[in-house]
Amino acid sequence: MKPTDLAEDVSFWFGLALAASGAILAFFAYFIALNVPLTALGLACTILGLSIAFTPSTPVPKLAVKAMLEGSCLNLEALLEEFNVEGKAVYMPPRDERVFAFIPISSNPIQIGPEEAAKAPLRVLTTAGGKPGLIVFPPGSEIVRLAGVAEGLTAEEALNLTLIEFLEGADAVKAVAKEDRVIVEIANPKVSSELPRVTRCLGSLAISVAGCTLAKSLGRPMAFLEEADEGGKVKASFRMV
Amino acid sequence: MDKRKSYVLTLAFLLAASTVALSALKEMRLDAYISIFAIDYFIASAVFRPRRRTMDFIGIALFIAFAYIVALKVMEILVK
Repeated sequence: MKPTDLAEDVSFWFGLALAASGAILAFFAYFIALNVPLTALGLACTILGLSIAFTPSTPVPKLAVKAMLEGSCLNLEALLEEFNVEGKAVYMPPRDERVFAFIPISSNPIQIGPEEAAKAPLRVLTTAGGKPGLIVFPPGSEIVRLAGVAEGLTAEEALNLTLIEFLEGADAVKAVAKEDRVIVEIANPKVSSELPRVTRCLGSLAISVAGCTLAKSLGRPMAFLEEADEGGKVKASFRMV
Repeated sequence: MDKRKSYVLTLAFLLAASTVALSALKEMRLDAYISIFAIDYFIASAVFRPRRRTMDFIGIALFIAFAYIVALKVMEILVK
């Protein structure tokens, strides 16, 4: 955090003021008033004040980070528009440590198997099983890598790690696996992308991050099926292929 | 409520409750208060895992204080 950000952060100064008042109270209570409970109160205020001061009030996503995340989707939108992509993304487990998404150009991806998609050459315009498609690295790909999602985590653990703890991009997240389906519910997502083609093909930004997370943690390709906005909650379903 | 607010409120509640409870029990040893504050701090930090601007200096300081108090108590028992 830059010094200017620190200077503008009201909670930092509030925390420091509380800590300083607590320290002064503890000093006088211990050396002059000789009162232990009052000294303890001063110490408690110091601990609380320092905790407030050193816990940033605007953690990720700050506006700039949010803008960068959302901005990165603009290129994807342009690419998908250019190739008139209609299919829904299949989030593939990492190759070279990064999750990627294969998006068939046609809207009928049934014939394309996961093995074919996994073997598809890693380039933007590619073919899998003779079907043309695009391979893209959604923003979630890098988030999953940096958050340190490990293969073998349950869907909900992994989603909590990326969306709640690392990105702080939602209030809560739930995941239910039923047969080959995984249904993800994200409460109050704080990052969004109002880009129609990206939302249709990859899901909204939070859902796209969820797709990447599931592909990495479950170690299987995850086909994005649908997404529904239910007033503050976003629900999406994926199919393990 | 976001994670940071929950963390600050929980820590404030735990510290206040500990101070009131120990002073109501007429506890006059400052090391008892500091030990309980350290436990409160680590509980709140473990539950909410807040993001920090820097290294967790408060945690380090409380851990050192707690270890020192425990070491003194152990020494006291061993010397007796």
